[in-house]
Amino acid sequence: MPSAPAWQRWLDRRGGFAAACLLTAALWAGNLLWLARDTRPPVWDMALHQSYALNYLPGAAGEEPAIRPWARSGNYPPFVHLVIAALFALFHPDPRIAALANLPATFILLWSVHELAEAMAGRAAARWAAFITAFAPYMVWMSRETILDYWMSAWVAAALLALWKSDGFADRRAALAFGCAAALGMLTKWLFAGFLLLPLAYVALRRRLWHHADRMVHKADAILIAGIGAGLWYVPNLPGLVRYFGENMRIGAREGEPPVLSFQSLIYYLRLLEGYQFFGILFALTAAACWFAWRRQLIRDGRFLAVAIAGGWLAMTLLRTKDPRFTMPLLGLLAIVCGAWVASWGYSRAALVGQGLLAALLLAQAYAVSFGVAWLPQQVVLARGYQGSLRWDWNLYTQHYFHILGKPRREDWKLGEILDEVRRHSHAGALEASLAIVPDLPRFNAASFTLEARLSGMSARIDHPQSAAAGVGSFDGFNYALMTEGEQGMPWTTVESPALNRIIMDEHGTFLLLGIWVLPNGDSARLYFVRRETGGE
Amino acid sequence: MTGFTLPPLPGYSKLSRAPRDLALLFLAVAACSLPFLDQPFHMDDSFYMDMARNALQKPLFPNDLPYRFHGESLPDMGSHSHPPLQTYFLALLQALFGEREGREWIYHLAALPFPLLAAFSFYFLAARFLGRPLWPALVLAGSPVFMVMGHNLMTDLPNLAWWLAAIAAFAYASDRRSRSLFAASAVFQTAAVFTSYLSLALTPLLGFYQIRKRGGPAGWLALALPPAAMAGWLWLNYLHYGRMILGDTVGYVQSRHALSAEALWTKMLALLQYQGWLVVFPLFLLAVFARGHKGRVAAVGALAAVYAARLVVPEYGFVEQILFAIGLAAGGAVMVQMAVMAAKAVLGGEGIPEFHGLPGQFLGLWYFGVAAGCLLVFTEGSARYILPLVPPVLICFFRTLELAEVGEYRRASPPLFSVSMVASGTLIVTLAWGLLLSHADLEAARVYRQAALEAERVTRGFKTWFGGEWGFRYYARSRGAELLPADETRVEGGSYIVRPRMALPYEIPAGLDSMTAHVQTLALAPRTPLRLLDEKTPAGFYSTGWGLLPFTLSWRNLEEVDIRQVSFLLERLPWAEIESRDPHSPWAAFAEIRGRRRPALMARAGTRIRYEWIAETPVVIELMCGIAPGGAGGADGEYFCRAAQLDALQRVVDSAGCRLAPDAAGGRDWKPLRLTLQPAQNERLYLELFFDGAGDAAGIFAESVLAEVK
Repeated sequence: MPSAPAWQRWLDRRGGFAAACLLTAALWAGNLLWLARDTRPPVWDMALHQSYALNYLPGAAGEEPAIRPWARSGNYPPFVHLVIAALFALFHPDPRIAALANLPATFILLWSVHELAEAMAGRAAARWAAFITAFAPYMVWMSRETILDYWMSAWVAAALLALWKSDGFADRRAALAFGCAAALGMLTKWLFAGFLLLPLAYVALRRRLWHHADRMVHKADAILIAGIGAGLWYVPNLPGLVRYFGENMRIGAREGEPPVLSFQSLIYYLRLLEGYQFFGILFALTAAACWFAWRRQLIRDGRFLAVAIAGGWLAMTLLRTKDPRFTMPLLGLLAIVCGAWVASWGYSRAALVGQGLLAALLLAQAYAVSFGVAWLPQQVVLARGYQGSLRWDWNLYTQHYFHILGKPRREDWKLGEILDEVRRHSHAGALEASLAIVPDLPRFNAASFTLEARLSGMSARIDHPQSAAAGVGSFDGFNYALMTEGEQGMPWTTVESPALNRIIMDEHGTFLLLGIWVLPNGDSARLYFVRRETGGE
Repeated sequence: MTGFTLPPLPGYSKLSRAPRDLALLFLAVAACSLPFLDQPFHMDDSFYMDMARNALQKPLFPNDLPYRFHGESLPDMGSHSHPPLQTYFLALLQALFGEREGREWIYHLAALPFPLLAAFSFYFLAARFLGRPLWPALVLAGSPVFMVMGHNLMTDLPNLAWWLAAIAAFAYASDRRSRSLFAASAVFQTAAVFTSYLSLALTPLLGFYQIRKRGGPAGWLALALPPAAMAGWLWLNYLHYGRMILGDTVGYVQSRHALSAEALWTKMLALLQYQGWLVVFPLFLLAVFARGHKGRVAAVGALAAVYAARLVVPEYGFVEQILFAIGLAAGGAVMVQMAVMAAKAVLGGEGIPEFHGLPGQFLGLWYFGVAAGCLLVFTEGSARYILPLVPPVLICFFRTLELAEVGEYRRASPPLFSVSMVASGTLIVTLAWGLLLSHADLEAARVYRQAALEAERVTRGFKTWFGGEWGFRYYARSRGAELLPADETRVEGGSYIVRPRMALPYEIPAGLDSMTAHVQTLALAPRTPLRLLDEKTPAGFYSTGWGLLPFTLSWRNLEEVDIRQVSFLLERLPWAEIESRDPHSPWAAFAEIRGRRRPALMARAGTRIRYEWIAETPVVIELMCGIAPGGAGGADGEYFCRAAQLDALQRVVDSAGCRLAPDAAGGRDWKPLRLTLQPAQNERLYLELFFDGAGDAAGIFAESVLAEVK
């Protein structure tokens, strides 16, 4: 028999690699276009992480020199911040450069999903799984945001792949790779452990590891690699993390998330999967895929995949704080199920049409959430959902994510101009540039201002006061105050903002207006100098 | 001594070398004890010495003595946590040899039979489980918890000795159907029960053995005797005290919330720490119990312990967290190994072959029974409570080594850390570790004897009260000081109050405290950085109240003794004669001198205060005089302070005075006065304070201290 052409042999060997490269290139082509057309500052957490990344740059603008090495990323593990810092060092500090930190994560995620799907359901399924993962609406949104969960999704997929390939820790190399992926995953975000605990327990029980000395040694080695690697950051930070977990639980309650053992909690992530991560049609397709994959045994060791999905869902459900980004690592795993079913349609004409329609749908959704389709409604709600601080609906689709993410916009939120005024005024009066920001809008908040200040080389202390109980004293420690008249931002952090605004407006003798800026949302931002008896003008 | 480098010889009898082994054991125990014979009485030794003194007066009820402990007064000590056998033993020594400082060595020498009995008994007991019983017996004698507790007079080591003797005698008696050994066991059990109530646990432990061995009536009789004797003794006490004495003991345990989740968690952590650090040096525990899977078990355990240390004791320093992690890993390895051994003995499966069935079940019951007692019965954790669980751990440890040795002979080349090396290392390093910790304990004990001596130098010639426990109580008392009474009116002006900072200081009642002036603080440091008990670091060998670690490292002072004097001027004021042209009588107040608040006596101008002086030796009075702020009558006012000793006819014997000019530069500075007061032998003498001046300012007599004439 004639041997296959060289390119086909290469594809056979490196199909996953090629598919991951191709899909990564396609996704990031769109992302680069999006980034070129968007001029807004990063939103809350994304700005915060970029600020933390600057802590790792020696001599970076506005560097905070006194921070100890293991505390430079605040309460978060440092991996993503280090990647962003490396890009800042390689190019220059800029939010758009920071977004590129997700590029390698896209490749790792897609390659891992492809490899796992190929091992479990074949090559065609793997291609579909990677394709769905790449262009699932939520993944598209998150791929250009500097959040930790995107990288964590990549490490979860990589770790599960290594775990599966280790054949119950029989394969030493795969076991060690699992240890490395686990260490990096833990160094990315602590929630990583929640996605791996049940799969690990499943493998241990199913393979009865305690009966196999070699496997136990390999597993121990993997645990040691993960434990020591992650320990570099976790061991010094553990006491602080325990406190932070407690605070996080309280924040979850403040945000109005449902109690952990309630019905709403149990269906929380199901609704987010339908309404914000996959949208209606892909969700229905995935639900059907789960049924058919189970009935037709389309997936080898489907239990492993089921345990991984159920384990991740359970761990995130048991957390009081909830957010769609927490379950992002499950999307790639669900895509494997979906891919297995789609691939099982075969190559009939009907199947090809169906597959074509699915591909078109995925690309259309990706386009709509990235660049918007003006002639379509912005959002089609199938049913109203749970109302916490936000309302999480069952959507057929939505072109935006609470108007925070969506099509690119050329907007100037005047952060630079406001900070310039603070800098000018504080230099003139030899004052500390300490700024209280009353609103907590997505792109007009303390974290965004902090990042802007640091990027511009300005040394400033910027915070968001959340209590008006002390009256004028609520602004103690600040020389400047910034308020907006209209929308204040997230309700759970701005309960006291109207009262704080009232204090600013009423205390004419204390708060001297320095300037007014009109913001893209039509509101006006007002900057005040906080005059004190002992200093200032 | 049969080494770990030779296989058991054919026809080798475990006890064939008993005489030589026992001689070696004797030498080892004696050699480990001799350097510590003069150790000062320490911790609760003083309590048992107090009770022993009382036993000479009330032999039937030695604990029937009103007692004050940690500032609390009790009508009697009948409900103390321990029955009186050890008290009788000490009473016998007191009767035979007397009691005074410098004779501690007699008591420690006389107590040497207890560690010897424990080591010998354990030797025979270990011979039933192991090929080479000398090794665990030597390690027991050298283990830190055994050595430290072997150098004091508390009940823990005698209790262990009785335990081991009772178990060994019972086990051999069961095999040989020997009535005399059953009788011996009954005697040892009874002694154990009369040393510690918790030794009643021997009855179910040996009862289990008796049932499984299908023992005869002699065994049951031996088991029945100790509880019966204890019941009789409790009944006798009920008749004497009019109450069930154990009721109050249980009430005390309940009052300390011994079963609260927090207390159980603390005791569990401490139990792991104690058995991790104080049985065998932890490195060897990990090497033997966690060597599985090519050492990965130890590595993963150590890693988990590091995480746990950061989570559980984040407030500890870096070195202390490392110590905690090591103790946790080693202690956890012990508990897991014992659990695996016990589970396999009950359920069957691979494990230590000789421990299948009864031997493993018996050791498991022993170990976990004592561990449960440590968790559920005691109010807090203490290293000495784990003494009874050391023997099963050592048996399991050396049996694991013996099995590893068999495996080693099958290998072509011996491993780097061979069994013989581990066994020898265990013995030598554990012994050295035990000696180091014993030395630290000796140094801590010396601190309190030294504290009492140095305090006496300061307070000599004056009535001295002390408020503290442990060795400080014993030596302060032996130097003539008296325990701070509940009735504060018994404490007169001029007397001293001496309190340690760490050794359970008594609280001074607020009224009395307001009249005391700080005289001196004695700082005492042992000659070792090792601490078994420390206020500033979490060293909790004797109690988890101080910390979760069995030891710590510190170069700071171990103890500070606060010496205060009750102000003669204030305490005697109600009995003083007062003449004043001002309608206001002198009053007590506080004055700030060199940044510290001092009790002071204040008086308006034109006031004389006359105290009757009854001291029998010459005394120096030193005090500071000043003007109350803001009270000067005018710019040209000048004042005068005087302290004088007057005879019966009001004539001045000696005096000292100073002028105060509040409006002049430096006129408001404190002026010192110093006056030597002669003893009032057969005549009436007075101490007079006089304050006068042109204005209406108030004068202050502060920081008055009476001291012996040097």
